[in-house]
Amino acid sequence: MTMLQETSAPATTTPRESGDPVVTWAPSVNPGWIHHETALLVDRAQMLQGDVAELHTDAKEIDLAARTVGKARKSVTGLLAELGQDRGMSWSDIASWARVSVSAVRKWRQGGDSTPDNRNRLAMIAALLDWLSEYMIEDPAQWLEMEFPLPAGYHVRPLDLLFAGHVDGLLDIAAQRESVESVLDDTDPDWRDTRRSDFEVFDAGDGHRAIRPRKR
Amino acid sequence: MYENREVFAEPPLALVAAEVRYAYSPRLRRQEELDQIIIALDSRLPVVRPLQNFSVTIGLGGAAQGQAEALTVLTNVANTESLTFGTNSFAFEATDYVDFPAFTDALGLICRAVVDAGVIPLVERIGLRYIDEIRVPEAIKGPLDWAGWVDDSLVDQVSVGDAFAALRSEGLISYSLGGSRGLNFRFAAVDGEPVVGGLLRRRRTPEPGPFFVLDVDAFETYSSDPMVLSPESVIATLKALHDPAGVLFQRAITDKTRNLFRGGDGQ
Repeated sequence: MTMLQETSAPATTTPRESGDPVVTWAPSVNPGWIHHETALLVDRAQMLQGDVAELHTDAKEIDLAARTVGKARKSVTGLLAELGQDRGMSWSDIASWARVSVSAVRKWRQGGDSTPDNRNRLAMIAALLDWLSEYMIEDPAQWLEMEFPLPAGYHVRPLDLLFAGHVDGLLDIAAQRESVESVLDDTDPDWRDTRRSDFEVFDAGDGHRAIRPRKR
Repeated sequence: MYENREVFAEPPLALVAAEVRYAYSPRLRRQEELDQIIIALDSRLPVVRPLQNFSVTIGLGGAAQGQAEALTVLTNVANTESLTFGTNSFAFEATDYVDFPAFTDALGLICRAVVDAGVIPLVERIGLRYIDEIRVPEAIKGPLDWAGWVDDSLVDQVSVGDAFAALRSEGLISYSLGGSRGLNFRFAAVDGEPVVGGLLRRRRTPEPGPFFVLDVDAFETYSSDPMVLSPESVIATLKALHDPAGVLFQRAITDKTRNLFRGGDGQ
């Protein structure tokens, strides 16, 4: 019996065909012979992925819109009670989301006038917090304020995505379908340059922490 | 026995392969079982080549994921037969195919060695594949020049764009053979490297150039009706797949090519 050791496996030249269920595996066959079929499958898969992703986005929008309609049955006062008292969302975040001042929110809590658009935006964030809860995120209002686990120097919170209008990406991160980086790549391609802090916190050696410009 | 069956003096056959695909068999990762199989096949396939293969899975979006797989390859001394086996399948290939009984004898021997090593998996699929590379003593400048050498139906598809110069022509047809048996027939007018390469030595090593490929792949699957691996059942399946593959080959060629394969000049 003769033992031959292949020191460099012909890996790239003989990919196993048997991954394809319709082909009888013959290692001696040049894989390029069926390349045209695999290329076609890749094209089809890419088209399918595009269609499914579009469908998924549509479904999320429809789901959130339906939940928002349900929440909008509450008055502005009732929505503020849910967001501020039940969910623990800060008044400043609520005001930012509603695109008004904190004092305007204070007036609403006391029965002051608001517009249908204000009511709708409050209903939408209340619906979003419900949605996040269903994805096993406890205390979703606090989660929105947490910083994403990004490399040192980057400070991005779920709220930042929300305020920038990237609800779709935020839902994908919450559902763990997408990484934070990939959502940022899609929504803000320059984020690695624009969102990096020029300063860093360091241990100053005197028992205190200090801030200094980050080395480039 | 099918119509026009004939053993040619100069056959275009480049490779015959049979694959038995089975449920994951971790015993085939253990050296003890592997050694038993290798020893049992020592008289026919004495050269052992352990190697790592790299399989690529293409997912949605075209993202490819690679996975290393340990394979064992056994070949004969002449390097014209090989057995490649892993934990999910084995493939036996021959470039010096003489006749079907000799080929099934080898498969019987292999199955017996696997079973005797205590590896008796459920079979998922058995495939029998014949790959012919037809080369002719005539200048072939394009797919249309194969007219007369292969069946018109394999050439005529080019005419759909007869206002343009055809550079390559190929096709895939999937046939049902009834029940869970099927046959995939690929064909192509190629100008380039041979389809069959790799480890095995061919009768004649062809130069790159124009040739016509007939790739006949008959198979049976066992998803709904499980079958335990045994030499008898594998051979019985191969016999059932053999005739349809032969029929298709004979229908794909012409009297002109038959004459060529008999040793004539193809006139």
